[in-house]
Amino acid sequence: MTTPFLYHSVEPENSKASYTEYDNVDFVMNFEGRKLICNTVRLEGLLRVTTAGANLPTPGGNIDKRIYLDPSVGIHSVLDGIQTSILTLGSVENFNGYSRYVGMTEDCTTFHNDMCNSENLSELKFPFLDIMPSILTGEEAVDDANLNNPNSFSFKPQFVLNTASQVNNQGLGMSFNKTGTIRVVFSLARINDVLFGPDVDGTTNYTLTNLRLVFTSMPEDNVENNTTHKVKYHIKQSILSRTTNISSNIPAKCSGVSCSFIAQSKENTTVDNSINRENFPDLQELQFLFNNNTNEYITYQIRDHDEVMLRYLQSMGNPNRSRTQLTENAGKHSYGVGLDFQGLVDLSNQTFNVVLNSNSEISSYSMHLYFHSMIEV
Amino acid sequence: MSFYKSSIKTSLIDPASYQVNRRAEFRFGKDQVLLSNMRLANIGIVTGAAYTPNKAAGLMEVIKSITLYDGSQVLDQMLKFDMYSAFKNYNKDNSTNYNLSTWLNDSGMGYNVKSKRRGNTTGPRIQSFKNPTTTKTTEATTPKIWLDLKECLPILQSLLYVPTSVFKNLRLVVEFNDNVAANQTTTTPFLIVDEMWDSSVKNKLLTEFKGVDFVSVETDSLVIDQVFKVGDVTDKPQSITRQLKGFNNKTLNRMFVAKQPSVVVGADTIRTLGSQLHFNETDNIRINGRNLLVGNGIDTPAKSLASLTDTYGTCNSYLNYQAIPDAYNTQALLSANEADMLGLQDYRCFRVGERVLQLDYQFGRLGVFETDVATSNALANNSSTTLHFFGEVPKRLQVNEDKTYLIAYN
Repeated sequence: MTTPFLYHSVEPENSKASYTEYDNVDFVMNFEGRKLICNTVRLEGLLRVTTAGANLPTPGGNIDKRIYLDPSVGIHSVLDGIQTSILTLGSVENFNGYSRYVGMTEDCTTFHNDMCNSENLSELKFPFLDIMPSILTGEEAVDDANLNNPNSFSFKPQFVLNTASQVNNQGLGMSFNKTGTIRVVFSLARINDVLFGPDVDGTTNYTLTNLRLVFTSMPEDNVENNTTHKVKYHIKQSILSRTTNISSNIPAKCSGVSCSFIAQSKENTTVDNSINRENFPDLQELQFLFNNNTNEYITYQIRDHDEVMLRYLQSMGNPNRSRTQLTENAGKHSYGVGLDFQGLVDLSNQTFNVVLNSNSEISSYSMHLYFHSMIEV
Repeated sequence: MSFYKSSIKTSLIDPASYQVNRRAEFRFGKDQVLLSNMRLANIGIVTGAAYTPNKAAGLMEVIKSITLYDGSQVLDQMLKFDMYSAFKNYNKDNSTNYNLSTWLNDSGMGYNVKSKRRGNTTGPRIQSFKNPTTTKTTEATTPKIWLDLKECLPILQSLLYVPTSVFKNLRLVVEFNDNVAANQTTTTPFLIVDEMWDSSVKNKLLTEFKGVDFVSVETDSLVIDQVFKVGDVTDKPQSITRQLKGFNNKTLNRMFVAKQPSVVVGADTIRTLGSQLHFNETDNIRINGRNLLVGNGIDTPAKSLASLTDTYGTCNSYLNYQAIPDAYNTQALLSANEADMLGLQDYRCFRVGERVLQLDYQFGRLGVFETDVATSNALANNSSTTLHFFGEVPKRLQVNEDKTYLIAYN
């Protein structure tokens, strides 16, 4: 009898006792004779944060260790990039700057209170920063504080296999006959991109153990269906003056672009959150310049701050619910700019330009651009 | 467009028989076509002293079971309704609980996050938006709730209307818990029913009524012994495998497990209606000779939350740990009730999707030793625990030409 649902659990190919910064973790997904059910792929494991080789002490009234994960990003912070290749198609996505993009997604689609939902907690996402030192001490037994496990996590990476839509209502199954084995490589981020706070120092470390890639499959029904998948192209550029023109070449048809900023002085430091989505200082004018799909030259010139935010939210897909309020912008952690192209635009044969004009002197900033594209499998 | 037109009449039905703290039975007239959106209202208790309802189930804890009968034929039923409703309230997102459910059923689900930036520098950061309203000593003032029967009787979700010409002796039986609070007296509930009044539409609906497929929730349970035996002096793992027979020869879709310790925990919050998280707990199913999940199955709190989300959808939780260092810079992270509830809503979920010939449940935990055996076994973590299984089994209601019918497992 064929099993209707099968839960797969894959060990890393390069199996190790633990993984930390700069490690690559390779998984090969094999589901011969079956169909992978898209949007069910999870990475599971245990996270232990240590300082000077010891577990974090319990924070008390005087705060022992102020060490944080970005609460909106949670365990996604440990991933710097995800490379996905399908045997019959080759590389389908090379997603760098991954954790920042997760933060942008959360900024644009959730509110603080939404962090009290189960799908976020299993990804170590929480409503506010100050809970993190307590969380990172580990999972302790209620009756014996000496019994302490690492933080468990189970999260759905926002990558090509988890962003599928069905075509012609023919289901989300992806046949092994069509794909062959699928290889997924997770690149782990450096420590200073994951952990931050006044007490992070050279002895602070994180390790991941018991890593498993889990997914669900269904029996092969011999229905030849297609699925569409959102893929991202990430580009990082520097901004060094009050007026800046950022030019990009993207080898794909794209439906939009979303961007966020951070001062270069705050990147890769122990104290600051390297994936913060900072305000761009005193933005006066924003322009997007490109040819649309009928080869008309398009210029979006945006001067109104609210319109900048609205366009950003639309580029991320859901303008109904977000944290990008003016008060949040004052906190400098949920800002971005972007544009929904209202259709697919071929950027492979043209240069896409973003012009930023500020009224203030700009110290050096990094701009992260994420182009939204799509593939069909 | 308004739902209510002249062809639909709304009736308030009093119980045909009612025994305080025990049972209420509602009966229906002949040749009616009732809409399936039946609501039970005025559910509550009057108590000798103020009593705070269960934080998860709200005043739904007053009801023990609800059964829809046709004569002696059970059409659908929800046993362990109090425990099931505690789960159903948990199985909603924070916004829905915060804005809606907490008002409809007097629960305390739905959490408010108060950040420092919004001026909260002293109070707890996470707390319930609204705690349950305490019961009162008079019927006029005590809180009463409203229940949509579709939430607990899945046949009503699938049926659009319930014709009493087919179900000739239709009756709804509500059984109450008689020991929710000291000196309690249940308030008399009434049923709100919409009836199709237009005879031409009624005839058309009756002609077209051929039956329906629906998913019924059935229950089973097993008891796990306490961890420690005489002579034990240190932490000790416990691992058991037990066979469940309640789902044999039925197709089992989804199933959740509520783990009820014999020791009452969360005295002012969830009490025994939640699901205890044990230390180093592992849960797995062995179905028809093979393990459903690889290895130990669900063996961490995060996997538990993830499987719950993937199987049943979003649930309203702020943390699934047994404990957390609950202060940061002299400010509490959780309010007293939320700290009290930690680790009491750890439901384990499975999507099976096949016909059960043999079903074994594998359960493991680490017993945490404290002082002596008696003290250790008195901890919820180590105590004797009842596992309550709520499984979805598909059924079919088939109506024949002569308006007789058959209910069978699919």
